[in-house]
Amino acid sequence: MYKEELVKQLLSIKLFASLRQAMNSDEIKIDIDNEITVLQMKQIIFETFLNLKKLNIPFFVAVNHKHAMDSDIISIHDEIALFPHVSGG
Amino acid sequence: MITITENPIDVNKLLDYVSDPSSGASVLFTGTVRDHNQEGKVSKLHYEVYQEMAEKILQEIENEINTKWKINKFIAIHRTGTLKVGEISVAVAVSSDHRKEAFEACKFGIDSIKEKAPIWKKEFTESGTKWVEAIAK
Repeated sequence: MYKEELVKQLLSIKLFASLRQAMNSDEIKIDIDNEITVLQMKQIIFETFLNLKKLNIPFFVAVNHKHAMDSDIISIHDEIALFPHVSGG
Repeated sequence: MITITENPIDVNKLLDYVSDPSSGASVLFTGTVRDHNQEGKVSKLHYEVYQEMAEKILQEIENEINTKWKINKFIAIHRTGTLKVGEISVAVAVSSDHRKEAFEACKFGIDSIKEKAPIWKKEFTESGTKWVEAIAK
């Protein structure tokens, strides 16, 4: 009998404005198991990137160009972005 | 029509675009780079855009305007990149049969862009650079 193994997958997360500048990169990557919630993703980000947590900038999460809620389910097939409050105009 | 551009905004082209034989009114709003903030002098601004999402949000704003007001033509343009004091960073133009709809739709357009479009600006001041991040209402 096969034992089902959890395959770690890399989720890419786009960064903008002060978050991009703080991380000195327009993208970060985290390991995830298949599907996770937005809240779980935030927890992994804070555990992995301590300097992002230290920044303490309120940020929003967009999934496939739409504002996401903590309960939304995401996978590596989604386009994820983190950004601070907008200031265009 | 909505556009994100790295090139200077020509307001005459916007007015030409919205001018229409059936329109009695055209309203144009321009936002320009100001030479100061609350703390002092500003020499330039840098705009960063999440292009794909901004295009979708701007299209949603245009669709919402078309459901709320009877307008004839609408155009909004936002700059990206580095802009000097006095340069136009954003422009919205609307035409309608009468002025009321054009004024209201234009105001809604610029207010919505400022509130929703994933665009950020960084100020260059005498004391360094600072990202402007409005506090959520």
